Amino acid sequence: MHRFANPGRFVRLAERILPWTGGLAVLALGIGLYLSLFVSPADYQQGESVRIMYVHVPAAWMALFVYTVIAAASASALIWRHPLADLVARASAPVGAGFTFLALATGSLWGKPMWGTWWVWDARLTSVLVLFFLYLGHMALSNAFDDQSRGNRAAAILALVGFINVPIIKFSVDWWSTLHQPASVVRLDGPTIHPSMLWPLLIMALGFKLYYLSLMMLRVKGEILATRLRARSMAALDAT
Amino acid sequence: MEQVQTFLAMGGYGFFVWPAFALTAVILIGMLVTTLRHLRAVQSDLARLQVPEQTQAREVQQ
Amino acid sequence: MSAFTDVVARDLRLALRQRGDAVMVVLFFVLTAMLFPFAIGPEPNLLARLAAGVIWVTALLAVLLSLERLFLADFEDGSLELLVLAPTPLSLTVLAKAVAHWLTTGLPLIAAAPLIALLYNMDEVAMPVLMLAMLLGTPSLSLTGAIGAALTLGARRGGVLVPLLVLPLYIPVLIFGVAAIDAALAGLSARPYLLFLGAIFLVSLVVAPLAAAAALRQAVE
Repeated sequence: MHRFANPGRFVRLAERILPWTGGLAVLALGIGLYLSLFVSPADYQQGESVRIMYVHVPAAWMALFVYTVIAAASASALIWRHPLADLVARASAPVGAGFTFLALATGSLWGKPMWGTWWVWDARLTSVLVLFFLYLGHMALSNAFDDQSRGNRAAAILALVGFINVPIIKFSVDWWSTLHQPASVVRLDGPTIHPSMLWPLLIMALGFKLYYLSLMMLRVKGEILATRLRARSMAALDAT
Repeated sequence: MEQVQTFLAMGGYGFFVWPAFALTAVILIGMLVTTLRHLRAVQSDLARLQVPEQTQAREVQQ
Repeated sequence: MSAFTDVVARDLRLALRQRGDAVMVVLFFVLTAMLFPFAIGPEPNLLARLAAGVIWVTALLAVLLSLERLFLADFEDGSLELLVLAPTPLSLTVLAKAVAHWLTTGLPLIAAAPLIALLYNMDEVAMPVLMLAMLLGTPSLSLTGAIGAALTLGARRGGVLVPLLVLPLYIPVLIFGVAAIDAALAGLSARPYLLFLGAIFLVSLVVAPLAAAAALRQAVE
């Protein structure tokens, strides 16, 4: 982990593997999209609307995954003071918010034909909405201070405090009777979903993950360059 | 043609399925575009700061 | 132990000197609760159904308003740095401040809640549960709120930021607080919901002082 602590080394490494992760992401998303829309079967009960699952579920998985990354990065930043951890958290928060919004919106589009309503205040939907606001709070807090590092550290504490919401989201469909369907993929007994639907789903999920990885590296690179820019601007001001 | 129409109709759910996929595309591409634009802006700002430094270095050499 | 009581006593003395602050919290609570009948109509059955929710939401908002001041005065006059450097564990100091905050905010709200329940025609059978639920819930609000107040010290627009950070964390208290009262109104046992409120209180009691202390240390560095 500490090999990557050097920002310059990170940027060079990122530039080397970015074409691969980006290319694979496009490939996975392309194949996943094709399978989702053309190859996978319509559902016995839900008809063609089940295809929304292939974007809704990966988006929801990413919403949780990115928050977990941010929580891990926050712990790393606070406990070991890893210099890149703050940047990873900062770079990831807007992306996580985007995935959460996507999960909520596609869920709504799926819910209307299936449940007859755009929204319902059940445990799963409510806790994901709370997750969305946790992301927004994180973004607001990290930008609320003139001293950037103070903002990063405050946001790190917030991320850790809010992490309790992640297991609540995951298990909400088990603990409370909800309108949202129970887990059918990530279960102790294994997935209950048919392979002809499972494979497109997993390929789309892989595509989303690779997309996030690529985007995150680009954004961290941007943060590193922005820090360099700030330092150079200040040095230039001093020189004049 | 009829096949395309059936496909677009998505068994009557087209009104929900296509916006879902469209929104996904918009958000995924949108986040990428925003990131790349910010990256390019920072890179060009850094480049502009480099040039005066190079002129200063040349002056010092002279 | 004496350091703990010292901080509580000091904060209480300051609060007493500025009696207006505690009064304002209660006034806001009552006034906001009074707005709804004007907006949704005074029909008694409708109000009775909404009573639990309105009481909890307006209590939440009233507590939110008072949070920004929790550490601000100490931060601005430099006494916060002294508290951070003092031999007493910072989390204990935070706990003391949260206790003082609850005594000047949560407790007055609990006292005022029956008035709102009356105005909303809430069935008296739920009154004991209302008081008990607020007794169990409002300390969590002070504790969790302290985290938000500590995180936003010195932030631009800190006042607007605190609700954004703290409200998502308040939602479980809100859900179980209302559920307890609704259970009592329906003649069912409120015990499971009260136990949840108690559990949330215990978790906040442990986590909040630690998190807020960490945030305070960042603020004075």
